[in-house]
Amino acid sequence: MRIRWMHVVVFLGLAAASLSTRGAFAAGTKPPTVAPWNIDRLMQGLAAHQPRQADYVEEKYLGMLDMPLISSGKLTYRAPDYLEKETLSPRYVVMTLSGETMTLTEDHQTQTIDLSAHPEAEAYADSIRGLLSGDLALLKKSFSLQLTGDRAHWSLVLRPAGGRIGGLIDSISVTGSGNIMRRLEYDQSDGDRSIMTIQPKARP
Amino acid sequence: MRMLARPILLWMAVLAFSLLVIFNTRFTADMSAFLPAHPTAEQAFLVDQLKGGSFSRMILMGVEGGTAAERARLSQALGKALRTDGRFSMVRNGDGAYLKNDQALLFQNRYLLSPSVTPERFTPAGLHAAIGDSIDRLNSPVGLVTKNLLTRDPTGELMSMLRSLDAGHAPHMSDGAWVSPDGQRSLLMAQTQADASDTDAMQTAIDTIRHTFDTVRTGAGDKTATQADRLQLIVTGAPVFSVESRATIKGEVKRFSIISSVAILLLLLLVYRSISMLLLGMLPVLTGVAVAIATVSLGFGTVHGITIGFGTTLLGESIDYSIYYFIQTQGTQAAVTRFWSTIRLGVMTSVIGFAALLLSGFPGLAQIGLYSMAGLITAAVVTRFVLPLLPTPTLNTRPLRGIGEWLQPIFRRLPRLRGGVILLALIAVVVLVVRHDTIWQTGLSGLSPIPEAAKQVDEQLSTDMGAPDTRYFVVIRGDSQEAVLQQAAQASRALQPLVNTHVLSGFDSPSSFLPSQATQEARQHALPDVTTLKANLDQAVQGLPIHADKLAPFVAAVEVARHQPLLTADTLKGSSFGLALDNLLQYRNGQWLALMPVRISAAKAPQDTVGTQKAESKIGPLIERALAAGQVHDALFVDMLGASNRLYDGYLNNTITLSLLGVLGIVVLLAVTLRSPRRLLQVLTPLAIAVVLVMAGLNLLGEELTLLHLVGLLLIVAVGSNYALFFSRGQSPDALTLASLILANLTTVIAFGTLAFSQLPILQAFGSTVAPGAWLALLLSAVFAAPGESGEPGEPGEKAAS
Repeated sequence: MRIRWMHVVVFLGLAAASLSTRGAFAAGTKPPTVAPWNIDRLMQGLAAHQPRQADYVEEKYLGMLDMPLISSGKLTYRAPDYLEKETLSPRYVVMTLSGETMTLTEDHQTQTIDLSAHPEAEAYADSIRGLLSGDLALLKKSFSLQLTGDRAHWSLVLRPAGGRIGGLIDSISVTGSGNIMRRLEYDQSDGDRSIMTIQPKARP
Repeated sequence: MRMLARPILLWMAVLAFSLLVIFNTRFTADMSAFLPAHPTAEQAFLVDQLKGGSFSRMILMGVEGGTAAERARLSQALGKALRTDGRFSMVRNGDGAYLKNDQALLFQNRYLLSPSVTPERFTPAGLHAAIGDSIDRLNSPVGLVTKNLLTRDPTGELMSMLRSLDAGHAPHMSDGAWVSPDGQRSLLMAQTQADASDTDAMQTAIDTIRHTFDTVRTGAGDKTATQADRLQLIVTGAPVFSVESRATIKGEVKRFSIISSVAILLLLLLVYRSISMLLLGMLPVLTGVAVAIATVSLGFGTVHGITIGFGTTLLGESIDYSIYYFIQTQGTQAAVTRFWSTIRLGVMTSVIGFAALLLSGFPGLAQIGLYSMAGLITAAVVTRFVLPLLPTPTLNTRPLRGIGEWLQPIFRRLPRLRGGVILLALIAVVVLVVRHDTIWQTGLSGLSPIPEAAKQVDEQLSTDMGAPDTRYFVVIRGDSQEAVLQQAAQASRALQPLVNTHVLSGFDSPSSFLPSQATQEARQHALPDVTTLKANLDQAVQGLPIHADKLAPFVAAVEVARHQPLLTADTLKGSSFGLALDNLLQYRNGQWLALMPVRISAAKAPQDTVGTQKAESKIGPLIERALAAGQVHDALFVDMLGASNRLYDGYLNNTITLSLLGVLGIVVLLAVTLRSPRRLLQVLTPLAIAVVLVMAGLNLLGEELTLLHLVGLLLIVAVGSNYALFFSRGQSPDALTLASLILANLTTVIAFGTLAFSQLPILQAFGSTVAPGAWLALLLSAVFAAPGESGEPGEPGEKAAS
């Protein structure tokens, strides 16, 4: 039984995770001393650093609930395209993205989902791949980008350029300093939002 | 003259009638002819499923080549075209319409379908636990889906159903079509309207698929021909196998018949040096084959390909009659009379041997028995009564006599080998006793004409579909659909502990797709009315981060569900549930069947035959005990592979018994006719040794014997008895008789020897058994021939016509 909308929204979570991961993984490296600061520089900086592991805390603010939902876990990235989001609390769930395949393991059952089957999900995949690889052109295919602040405190906002993705989310806001992504906010069209804070692990 | 012509007229009438019957005969190749006529309950299920079960009507298709988008487009076009074709009851390829339909169906009927719907679940405590769990699940990436459902389905019935339905089974999707996990192949599945046993209908269905594919491929728009050519269709599944094996059997039988016929004809032409004599010599054989096929057709309604395959082999024995006739009846009247008495005994021996097969409980084997009897008797009768009436040119026997005279001293010295042969036979017996475990092949696979490569493609496509062959079933039988659905639900409850303890990795039940009306009613009764539900909700949300008034859509949905019409098989038609139900809930032979495929944990799944038997002996009783404890009545645990293996073993044992019975019949006949224990021993010893040596030889070559080998062994006795009888007539045969025996032997060895090179296991089995066996039988008959006396020279010159 494959439920299409389920995969799409599953993917939203993935997008959030991946975007945030990218920042976390870049942590601990010194910002390049070259000037001037612009989106190309940010992309270069993000691309130049191989991300690895991070802890995360995610808060979800849902209109129907009186209190935010809080979950936490680990993120793992392996170049070029493997990403794992392991939720440890309050329930154990593992989600992986490898190439065009996504798996979700919950309650001892694993589902495999083909991303190419869902165009709207593919747009998110492009955005993740774009950020992970610092591929500005790929990001611009589905999103319009807006960078504010300076190198020490920057904020990048991605807004859907149209398509089905636009009906689901308003914007993705990534904030960070230098080559480090610290926080990822994810505003849905229905007013719900989630905020993920990333704590990179020290390099071994 | 008029009196003399009568047999000819009769012969022509019989031949014409036989041909008429043959033209109206249906030829089959499905293995159900080799299944027992009076099966056990387990075998009956197996046979019925093989003949008409939904699994055996399933055709799997794969589209390869081109780009992913091209494959998907083609899959959709093919699916659309096939859906409008009346030959298919169902065509699936992941079409989006099904998906939407499935989702709506599942969601609308969640309170009738979800196994979690019980009165307890709607108490304040039950609701508190269920809603709390749903809220917890919002944290997962899937939570963003369940978020949208929370107000309508706060107890998570949809997710609970999805979990119980083992979502891992469906194929992957790409561009709106099913694809293999590696994405390199689009997948489709179609089920035929017609029963699987109707091979002609299967053939039409498969042809339709191929033609439709060609049409949609060429009509697929702006692609160039070369691009379109790269897209290929693979078709597999049980219907394809039955059609292809029929074609293979037909093709191989034809090819080898032609090869061996040409070789035999050339040999005979060399000896006879007369075309007319050659043609006359073929008359008994061809008449025998025609009458044999017609007899089987009249007796059984259809003629099996294996039976036809046997036709070639019959050539080997029946041509001997005319060879003996032409050559040996050149002598005196006394010689002719003696000749016929020997041949008559030889024919009777063979007929008795094959008559045993008539008693077989397996229609396929009985066919072979009837075929052989009718063929041999006809050939002998035509040789005896028709050939003498036809103008036969005189045979120049001088070259043959020369060969015979040259060979006579060699054959006369053969009895000196007796000691050595007996020693060799004893060694062979020891070999067979020591290696008795490896003599016979277990399982039907040895008889299967399906090439290994085709089996692998099928396995690959099934795996891609996420539907590997199901081997174990719990089958529930009952008088009504409601009864079997209730029992299936009961069985599900009984089997669940085995899943929890990891004995089973899972099972399917028709009751999860269509719960019994009683279950659905019980679930409806478990739903509280609006007032009660609201009151319970108010208590339930205490301590949860949600307000009861946010759940108003839930209260409304429950109220609707309390009065909604119950699900029926008709409601489910056209959905994935309908498809699953088609497979799992069947009405066959006046009985309702619920099929529950059972999957054994990978860790416990058997890897080899020995392991299989172990696991089988363990799993079967475990499941049966669980079912008995759960008070499930009329349930049957079926191991499809095990059942078919046991079926085959039964078949093999049955055939061995019958063959021994046939041999016993032959011994009695010879004992009564020969009235001499010494001659009896002289006839039987070479035959027994030939059989033993062939068996031991094949075993040492690593060939496991199948049923067809066994029938071949019987044929050695049948053919060999002619040789043995000639050599046991109290003197070693004269030069002409010897030459004719050798010629007859040569044709037999050629006929069967070519078969030994066939790719078809059934033909190869005959060939590798009978060719060496017949040769050994002749040689050993000479070895054990009556000692001392020298052969009378046959009287030359006189033509022996009656």
